[in-house]
Formats: sequence, C-alpha cells, structure tokens
Amino acid sequence: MARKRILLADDEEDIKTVVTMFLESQGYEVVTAYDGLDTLEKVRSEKPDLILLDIMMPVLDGYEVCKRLKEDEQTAHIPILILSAAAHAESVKRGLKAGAQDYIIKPFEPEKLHEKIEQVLAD
Amino acid sequence: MDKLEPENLIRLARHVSEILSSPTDLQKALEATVNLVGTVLDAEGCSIMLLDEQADVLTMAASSDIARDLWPTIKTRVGERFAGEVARSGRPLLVRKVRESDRLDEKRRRRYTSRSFICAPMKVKGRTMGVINVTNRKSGEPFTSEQMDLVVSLASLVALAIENSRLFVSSEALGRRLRDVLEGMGDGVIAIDTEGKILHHNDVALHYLGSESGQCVGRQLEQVIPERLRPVFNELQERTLAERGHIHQEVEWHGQGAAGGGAPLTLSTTPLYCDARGKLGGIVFVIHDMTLHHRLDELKRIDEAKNSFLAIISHELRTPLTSIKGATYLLRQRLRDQLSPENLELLKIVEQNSERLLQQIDTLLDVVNIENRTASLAIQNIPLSSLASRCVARVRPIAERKHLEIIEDYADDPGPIALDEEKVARAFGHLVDNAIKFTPRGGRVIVSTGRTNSELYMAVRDSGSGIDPAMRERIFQKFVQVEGPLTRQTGGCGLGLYVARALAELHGGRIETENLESGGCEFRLVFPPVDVIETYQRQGLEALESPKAVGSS
Repeated sequence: MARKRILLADDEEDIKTVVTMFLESQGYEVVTAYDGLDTLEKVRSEKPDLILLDIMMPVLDGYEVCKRLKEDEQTAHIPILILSAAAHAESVKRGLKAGAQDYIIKPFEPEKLHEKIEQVLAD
Repeated sequence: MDKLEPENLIRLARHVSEILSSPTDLQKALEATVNLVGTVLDAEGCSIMLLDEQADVLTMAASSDIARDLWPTIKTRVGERFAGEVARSGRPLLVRKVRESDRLDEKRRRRYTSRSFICAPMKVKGRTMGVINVTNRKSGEPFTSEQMDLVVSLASLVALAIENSRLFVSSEALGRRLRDVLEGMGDGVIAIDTEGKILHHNDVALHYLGSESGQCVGRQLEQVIPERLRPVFNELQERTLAERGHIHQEVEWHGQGAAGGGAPLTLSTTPLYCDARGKLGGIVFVIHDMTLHHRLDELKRIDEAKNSFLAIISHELRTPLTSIKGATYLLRQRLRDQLSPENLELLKIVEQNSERLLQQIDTLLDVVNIENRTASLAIQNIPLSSLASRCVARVRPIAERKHLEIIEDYADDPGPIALDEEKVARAFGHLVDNAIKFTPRGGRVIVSTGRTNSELYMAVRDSGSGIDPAMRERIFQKFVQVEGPLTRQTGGCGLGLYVARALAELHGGRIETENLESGGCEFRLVFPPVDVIETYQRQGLEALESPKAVGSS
C-alpha cells in the first residue's frame, strides 16, 4: 500500500518541524506549505490525501483556504483537519462551517492527532 | 330689618364675596361671614358647621355667639337634630317658632333653647359641605322665608369659597411636592415661557450652568446662562418653538459636573404645553451629567479590550507550547531506552510544566468564554469518579513533593452522567489545586464522589486552615485571593474559583463550601439531577446560536 501523503500548512517553522517528524515516524509522506496561497498551489501540485491546516496564516487565512478548496470540484474530496491555536468556541464553529472534517486545538496529543488522521483517511 | 332692602342685599352679597374671595385664610373668612350674617339678619347667633364625610359628623367651624374654644367640641351627627337633618337631606329648613313646631315632640321642643331657626345647606355641585345656622332674631320675631332664601344664597357662596380654598390648598401642596421633586433630582431643570422668561428651575440647573445667582424665577434665561452656552440654548429654544413637536435633541458640552470640576453635560428640551389642546406655554430644558455614562462606556471598552487581549494571549501562548509539547513527545519516543533516571526526571519536569502552562492558558480562555457568554458544552457520558481520579493524577506529583496524602473514595460513585468532560475536569481541577495549595506539608486531602437526594457531587476535603466566613462569597470573585501565610507560596492569579463556579453553573450546578470541625474545609461541585443538567445544556447551546462578537481568536 502506497504511503499516504499529508500536506501540512503552517507558518510556524518549529511546529512544521515537530509535526513533520511525528507524521513521518508514523509512516506518512509529508509536504509543507507556509501560507494560504502556497497551500492552494501545493494542493494542486502535490495532490495530498489529507490536509492539516492552520488558521492564522499570512496572505490567506485557513478559513478562506478551506472554503476555496471545498468549493473547487477538483479538491472538494480532500479531507481537511484544522490544527489551530484559536481555541475559542466561535473559531471552532467557523472552521467546521468552512467545510473542515474536524478542528483540533493546539497543543494536541500526538496520538490523538494520529487517531484522527487514520479515522478521516478511512472514511 | 323685616324687609330686606335691595341695596342692603347687594351690599351684603358684595361684602360676603369680598370676604370669601381671598381663599388663603378660610378660617378668617368663615368667622367674618358668621358675624356679618348675624348682624344683617339681626340674629342672636349665626354659625357654620363643616361636614366630615368620612365620619358623617358636622363640626362647628365658626360662630358669632359661642366661645371659640368650644367650637371643635360642638358636633352633630348627620341625621340628628335640625342641622343633621339638613346635612342629610340637602334641603334648607326654616322653623319660625320652635315651641310651636310640629317637627318636634314635646321633649325635644323643650331641649331647644332657640326660638326661631334657619338652617341652610352649603352645597357645591350637589355635594353638601356643611350647614349655616341662624338662630333667634333679637326682636323676638320669627324668621321669614325671604330671610331663609337669603341664607340659602349665602350658603352657596360660602360653599364655593370653601371648595376654592380646598383646591387652592391641594394645588399648593402639589406645587410644593413638585418643587421638592425638582430639587431632589440629579438632573438640572429649567422651564421658560415662550418669551424666554424663567418659570421654574432647580438649584442643580444653576450649578451645572455655573451660575452664582440664587433664585432666577422671573428673569430672562439669557441673563442666567453663561455667554458661551447661549448659542446652544438659543438654537434649541428656536427649534423647539418652531417644530412644536416633542424634540429630544442632545447637545453635549463641558460644564460644571455634579461632583464639581469639568464634566460632559447634555442638554435636551421638551415643549411645555399649557393646556390639553396643545397650546405652547414654553420649553423645559433638562441638563444631564454624562460623567457616569462615559465612565461606564469606558469601563465596557476596557473590559472588552481585556477579553480580546486574553483571547489573543491564549492563542499566542498555545503556538510555542505546541512546539514544546511536540518536541518533548518526540524526544521521549526517540530516547526511550537511552535516558538515565536523572534525564528522565528532567524530561518529566518539562512535560509537567508544559501541562501546567496549558491549564493556565485554558483558565484564561474560560474567562473569555464565560464573560462573552460563548461557553458551550461538549457532552459525553462519563463517571464522576473517573473525572475525579484524572484530576488527582494530575496533581499527584506536586502532592508528593509536599508529602501530602491523597485519599480517593469512590465507593458511592453515582455512575456515568452526561457532562462536558473537559470543563468539569477543569472546574474540579481548580478545587483540587486549591486543596493541595492550602494543605500544609504532611497533611491529607480526601477526594470523593457521591449522591445526596437526587443531586450528584464531587468533593475535595483539605486539612488547611478553613475559610474565613467573611471571605466565603468573595473567594468566588475574579482576582480575589485569600490572604494568609500560604498565599505567597501558593501563587495563582485568583481566577480558579471564579471559573470553577461559572463552569459548574453552565451545567446548572453550583459549588458548596463548608468549614469542617476537624479543621480544613470541603468544596463540593454539585450537579442537579440529570434531567435538569440536560435542560441547562439545551439553553447553553441556544445561547451559542446567537453569540456576541469576539474580539479576536
């Protein structure tokens, strides 16, 4: 079975490093994006199986990225998990409304993130 | 004066009118009237009795021949004696010769000292207010019906005068009350007529205007207000007069405030109508000190800024913490078999303190959600005992360092109930944290769950010094911390109990505290019966459907 490819979109270098290391240790292939526009481009060029999406990113925020991907027929099928430090109930609501499969608040337990990824990929 | 000459009658009427026309001193008018009537009718006595409608009794108010100090003692019940009969029937009575009158039996005839007698009701608009009695002509002749008619006419005049006087007195009282109300107001009030002359004002108005003059009624408004304010007043005055409708315009300017010193003041105007048909009689200016409004607005702004600041802080602290926790996790995974006990201890310290930091961030976010009313519940079925033991597990390392014994007693656990696991864990976590904080080294903390009646509870009992009863309510307020020997060592920012109580209330629950006889105290997180919790959860979710805007997230 081919390795699943995950696009990790986050503007925080340290978070990208840590999460990439963790995901790779769990057997995934990881590509990263550093802002909203880069994310949209990488989705097209890399065709990931799943997107881990930060909210507070430069150029385009995660809500907008999520909305655009879900509006586009070519990308609407790709599951999106929001990974955000915006822990407010309103942010969670907004993220789910934009079409994300789930909203995970930072900091998160790595095992729980893994569980969630497996679950979403299985659907 | 057998025949009443026309000129005598006119003189009498004019005289009585004059006496009665000054309503300010009714008593004097009544006394003058009885003396005058007595003289004109050549009677031995004339008196006026006033009716107390509540008691149904006539009391003498004035008499030409009876000593003044006896007047209040002379009373006649309505329906009794001649005066009482007249008061009841409202019809005048003429008894030419008392001894021959068939109105009286022999016994009563003898009791009457008068020989001849007129009694006329004093009536206004069909209401009897009292009677006028005229007794015995000095000549010994009986009274005539002509004389009775005269007394009846005079009685109507007197009645009218009494009515006027009473209206005057009550309108005076009303006026006094209104003046008291005006003076008692915090707002400045000035009423002027259409020509700009001041009709009424209160002292507050003069204070706001910075005017030194005392009484300004009758003066032109222009003379009273400071020059720089004249354009403001004039413009509003003209607009109010021109538009005639209810204008409520507010103009803000800086003047002398209620507390002295400068203050933002607003001026509003209302037309003053002098009759029901809408004839404009003037304008009322109301001057209001806006200091408190402004201060309140300012406080609201500060509070909103604080909440949005807390939300930003929460976000900004979570981001680096995510890297720290993630990196620590990976380190532990990678070095699993290579860590010396000492290095493992170091790693544990990083992990535990990251966790602690996260809890503090969560507390800040709880405050934001509580104050913006955006807290929602994520419901799961969970046993209280597993929540409680989770909280205990978290504090165990700290407890061990303080050599505290933690006893867990879940023998009476009520089983799984529907709760927001994270929020209840945070609420109870604050109670457990406090118990650990305020129990001295070597002490004991007991954690338990259970049920009393239909209510469910999680409890934590410490062996600290208990809570000062005076502080019992205050400890639940924001940023309040108990002063005591342990305060400095224990730290914290005074948000734990505030958040814990709010989270409990979100579930329809509450927090109870009790000082124990054995020393220390017990905090209980009490939940209502399960069906009540569900109602609260529904309400909480409805509240979330229409949330307030949040500054930042």
